Amino acid sequence: MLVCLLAACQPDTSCRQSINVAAGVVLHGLYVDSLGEASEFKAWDSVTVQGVGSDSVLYNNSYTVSRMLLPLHTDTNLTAYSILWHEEYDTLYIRHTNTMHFISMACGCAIYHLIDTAWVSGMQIDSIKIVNSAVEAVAQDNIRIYVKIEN
Amino acid sequence: MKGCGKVILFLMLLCGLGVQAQNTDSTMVKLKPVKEHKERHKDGTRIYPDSAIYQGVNVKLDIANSIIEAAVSKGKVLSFEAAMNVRLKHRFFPTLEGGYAQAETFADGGFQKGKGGFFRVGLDINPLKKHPERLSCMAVGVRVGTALQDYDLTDVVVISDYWGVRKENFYNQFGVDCWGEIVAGVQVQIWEGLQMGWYARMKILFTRTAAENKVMPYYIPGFGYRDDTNWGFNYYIGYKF
Repeated sequence: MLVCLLAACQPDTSCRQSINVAAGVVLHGLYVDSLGEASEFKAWDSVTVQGVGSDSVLYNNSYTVSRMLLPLHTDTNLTAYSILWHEEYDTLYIRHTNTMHFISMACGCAIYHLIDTAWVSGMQIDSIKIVNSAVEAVAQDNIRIYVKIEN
Repeated sequence: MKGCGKVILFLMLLCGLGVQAQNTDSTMVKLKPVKEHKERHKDGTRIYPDSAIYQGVNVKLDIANSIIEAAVSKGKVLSFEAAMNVRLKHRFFPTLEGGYAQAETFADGGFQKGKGGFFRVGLDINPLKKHPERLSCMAVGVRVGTALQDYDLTDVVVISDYWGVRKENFYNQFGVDCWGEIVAGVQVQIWEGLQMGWYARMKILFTRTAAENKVMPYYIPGFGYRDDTNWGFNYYIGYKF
């Protein structure tokens, strides 16, 4: 009877963890009005983000996005995202290395990244800065984008 | 003279009988039986002097864990194990256990095929009152275990919800895992040196994190399916030498 009871205790083969490895991108914006007064803003409004080479949209006209989570490629060292904001496109490029991290047999592996360099092309983003090069399963700020809007 | 001779002869006979009687008494004293030294218990097993440290060795074969693992895995995991312990002063039992397992296991994140061996060393203590003639005892103890195995992991999922899930294969991997155990059980003498007994085990895995770009096996021989802690049960048949 004990054998039958223990036989009913099958090992759990399903993944119970939520694993999301993505680079955190935050905005530091400066708005200068016609009087020359400056005010800071730190959230995207009506932003659309799509990975270059992917058909799916990550953020579709999203409002008040304070931190974008951008997953990086797991099998290549360069990831690019197209950012549509205020009807203009900018492209964010991230060069990174990949390290496999085994989670469990139920969940498989996750790929952690180390950001090497990042740059942008476009007209709206002034500059970017890598604040934390390690991209792991914990949500954190990795890249800071600086935007200046003058009226 | 003839009368004196008869008296003398009679007296000589009396002395002779007396001497004979004395001789007989001394013989009887000499023939008083000496208490025999007992070499075996009533059931035939060997008796060791109570003051001796070494009291014998037990060799055991597990039958329950093999059946349980085969039943839980539906025949995909086949394992066996044996154990040996030494009886010291009816109180301490240094123990060595070993075994072998081969497994084909799967989970949502991949498929494993592997085989390997394991061994555990430890010490049991009999908390019951010592009794030289009773070989049945209770056992409470600890173990440290190590498993070595060759395995393949195939169709391992690489998580990437946005860029698309892909799968990787890892062949000819070699894994080493370590764990600790707290055990409790009973050992009962059935007939002469034949013994049966059971153990319940609580296992704590030490090797929990894979190195970078390395994978870890899902099933560990001697431990079971990978998890921070695990339970185990053994039922042994053995013999005491």
